[in-house]
Amino acid sequence: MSALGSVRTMLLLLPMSVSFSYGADYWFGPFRQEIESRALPVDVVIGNGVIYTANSGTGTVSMVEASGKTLGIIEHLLQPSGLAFFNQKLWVSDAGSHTMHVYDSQGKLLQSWGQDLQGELALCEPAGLALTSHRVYVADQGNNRVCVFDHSGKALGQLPDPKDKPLKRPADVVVTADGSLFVADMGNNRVVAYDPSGQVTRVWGDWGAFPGLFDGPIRLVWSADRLLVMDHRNHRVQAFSADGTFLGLWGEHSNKPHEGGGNLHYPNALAIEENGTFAVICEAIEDRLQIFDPHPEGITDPGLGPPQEERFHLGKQIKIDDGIMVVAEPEKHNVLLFDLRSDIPVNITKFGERGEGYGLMMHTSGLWLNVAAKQVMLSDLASGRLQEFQVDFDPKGPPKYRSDMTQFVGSFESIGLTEEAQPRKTPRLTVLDADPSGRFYLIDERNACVYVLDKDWQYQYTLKGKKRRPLLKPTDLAFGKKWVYVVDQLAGSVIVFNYKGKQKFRFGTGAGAGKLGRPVSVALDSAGKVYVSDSIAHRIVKYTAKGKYITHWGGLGDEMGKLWYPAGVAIDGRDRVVVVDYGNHRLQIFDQQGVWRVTQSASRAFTWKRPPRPRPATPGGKP
Amino acid sequence: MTGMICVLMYFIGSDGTTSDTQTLESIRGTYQVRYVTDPKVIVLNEPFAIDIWVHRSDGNKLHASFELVVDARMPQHRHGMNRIPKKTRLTDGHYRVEGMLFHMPGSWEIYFDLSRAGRSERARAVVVLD
Repeated sequence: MSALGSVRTMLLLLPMSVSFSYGADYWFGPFRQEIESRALPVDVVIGNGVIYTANSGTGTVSMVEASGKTLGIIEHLLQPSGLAFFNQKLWVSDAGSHTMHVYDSQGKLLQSWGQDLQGELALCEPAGLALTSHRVYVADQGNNRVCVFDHSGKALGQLPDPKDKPLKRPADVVVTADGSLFVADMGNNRVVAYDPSGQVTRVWGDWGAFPGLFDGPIRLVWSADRLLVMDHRNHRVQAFSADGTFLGLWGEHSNKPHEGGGNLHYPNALAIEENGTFAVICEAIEDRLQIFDPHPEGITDPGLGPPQEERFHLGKQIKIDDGIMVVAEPEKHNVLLFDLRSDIPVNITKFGERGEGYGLMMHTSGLWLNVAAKQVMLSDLASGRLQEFQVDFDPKGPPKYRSDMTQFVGSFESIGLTEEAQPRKTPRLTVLDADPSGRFYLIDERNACVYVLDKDWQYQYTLKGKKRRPLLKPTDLAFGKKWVYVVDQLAGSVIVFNYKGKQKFRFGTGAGAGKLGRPVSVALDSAGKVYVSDSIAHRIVKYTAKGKYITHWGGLGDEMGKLWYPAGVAIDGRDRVVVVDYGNHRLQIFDQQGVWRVTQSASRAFTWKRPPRPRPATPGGKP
Repeated sequence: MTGMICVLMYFIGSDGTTSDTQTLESIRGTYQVRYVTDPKVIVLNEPFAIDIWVHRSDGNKLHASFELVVDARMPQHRHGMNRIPKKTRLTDGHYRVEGMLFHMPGSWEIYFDLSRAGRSERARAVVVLD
C-alpha cells in the first residue's frame, strides 16, 4: 500500500491519550458498519473517498463508497493481490497472471506490464506494492524479494536481503515521506526497515502471539510516523515507531466465525481515508469490509464476549484412506488423524512441532496417507520438503487416542524431486497424492503443473494442460478408473487426463448449475461420481465421471449443512462426503445426495441423529 | 541427576568406538550410526558432546554430498533444547557435536538426520533423564 494519512489524520485516528491495550479500545473510533463482499477481498485502499478492494475470489477490483454503495467493478483480472492508490491512479498487482495493472480512478485501464519480463526479472505472485513519484516497489512474493521498477515497468533492481537470512514470502512494502521503506517479511514473521538508499537498517519481530511478535504480518500502513502492521493470524493490528519500538496493539479476535461488529477474524488489510473520515479493514475469510468511525470520543469497549468454543484451524486439504482421515492445522503446526468407522470421526492422534528442521512443521499443505503402509506424508511450504512419518496404530482395533504413535522417517527436498522436470521457478509443492498403481503426483502451484513420479520417487512426466490453454492454478487432484481429475482453480474447471498424461477433456466451465467459480478440491466415490468443492459459491457440486452435472448442495452459512469457503473434500469407505468447511473452522459430512450427516468442530459434534437445538429467536421475533 | 540411555548395544569398534558406544540403524535401513556421549552419563543441565560415526549399511562409502544433522527434542512437551549444538566433521563419517544440553528431566530423543542428494532419513535414540 502507498503511504497513507498525514500528521493531522493520525492525531484524529491515534490520539495520544489513547492507551494501547489488548483490544479494549478501537483505535479508529467505534465500529460503524459492515459491507458484504462475496468476492474474497485480500487488499484494500482508499482514494478520493472511494474504497477499492482486490477480490481474489472473483478476479475483480470493487469500487464502493463507505456507505456500501457499489460504484463500479474492474474485471478481467485473474487473482488481484495488492493495491496502491497514487497520484489519482490505482495500481493493481495480479498474482494469478504475475503482472501489474494501472487504472485511472474510475477503473479505466491505462497500462499493464510484467507479462514480458523474462528470466530473473519475471514477477512471481506479486502482492503488496508501494509507490513514490519515480519508483514502484513490488513485494514479489513467489520470488522471495522486493523488486523496484520505474512507473513504466522498467526493472531498476531489488531491495537487498537482511544479513542474517533472506526475505521469505514478503507480503507488502510501504514507503515513508522521506523515502524510507518497510517490508512485511511474512515468511519470517518480521519487519525489515530500509533507509532511503535501500540499505537494511533494522529488523524486528519473530513468530508468536506476545506484543511485538507476529503470526503472518501481511500488510503495512505508514501513518503519522507510525508503522501499522496487519498481524493476520493474530487477528490484530500492531503499531511501531520507525525504529521498531513497539507502541501498541489493537484488535479483538472474534469469539465465533462471522461475528463481526468490529471484532477481527483473519484480517487481510487496513486502509485509512486520507482526511481521517473512516478506516477500513478487509477480511477475506469473512468476505466483508468493516468500516470504523474516526472520532476518539466514540471509543467503545467491545468486552471479552462469551467463552470461545474451541475450533479447528484446519488447512485446506484432507485425505482419507481405509477408514482413516488426515487433516492439518497449519497455524498450530499439527496434523490430526481420525478414525471414521463410527458416525462421528474419532481423533486418534495429533502430532507436530513448529520449526523448519527435519520432522518439524512450519506450513503444512499437502497430505497423503497410506494406512496399509502406516505412512503419512506431508508437504511443507516453508521448508520445501516432503516429510514422511510412520504411524503405529491398529486400524482394526477400537479407536483410541495416543499421542506417541508417530515418528519421523525421512524427507525429500522438493527441488531434488522435481529437478529432472526443469521447472522455471523454484517449486512450491502444495499437494501430493498417489494413484492406484502407486505413482506419486505432486502439484506445483508456483509453476502451475503436476509432476508424476514413480513409486520410487523417480520423475516420469509433467501434466501442464494444453499449450494454448495451460493449467493456471492446480489445487487438487483425484483418481478414477481411467482418468486423473485435476482442479484448476483460476480456470474454474476440472481438467481430465488419462494415465499417460494426455489431456482428455475439461468440465465445470459451461453455463447452468454445473458451472464452477473457484473450485478447490475434488474427490471420487466408489461409483466414480465426482465431487468438487467450489469455494466462492460455498457448495459441493456432483458430476458423473464424464463431467455431467448431477446435483449440488451447501450454500453460504454456518448452520448445519451450510458451508463457508469449503476447501478439501474426500470420500470415506461408506461413500460419505467429508468436507473441510474452512471458513466455519469445522468438518462436515454428507451422504452422496448431499444430505447433511455430521458437523464436527474441535470441541463438539452434531449428527443428523443428534442435531443442535434451534437457535433462539432474536428480540424482534426474527430467527 | 543421572541419565539412562535406553537403546543399548555394546561393542568394540576398530574406528575408535568403545564399549560405551551405542549403535542405531536409520529407519529405512540405509545407514548405521554409532555414537558415544561425553561425558558418558548425561546429566541434567550439564553440557555434553557426542562423537558419531556413520556408515552405510551396504558397506559403500558415504557420498560426497552426505550431511548429518543432530538435534534433540522432547516430543511429549513439543520442544527441543534451548541451544544450538555445534557440529564438527573430523574425518569421513566421523563427527563431533558439542553444546548439547538437556534442561528438563523426562524423555528426550536424540535425532540423527542423515541425508544425501536431498533425501534424508532418521536414526533415533531415546534418553530418559530422571
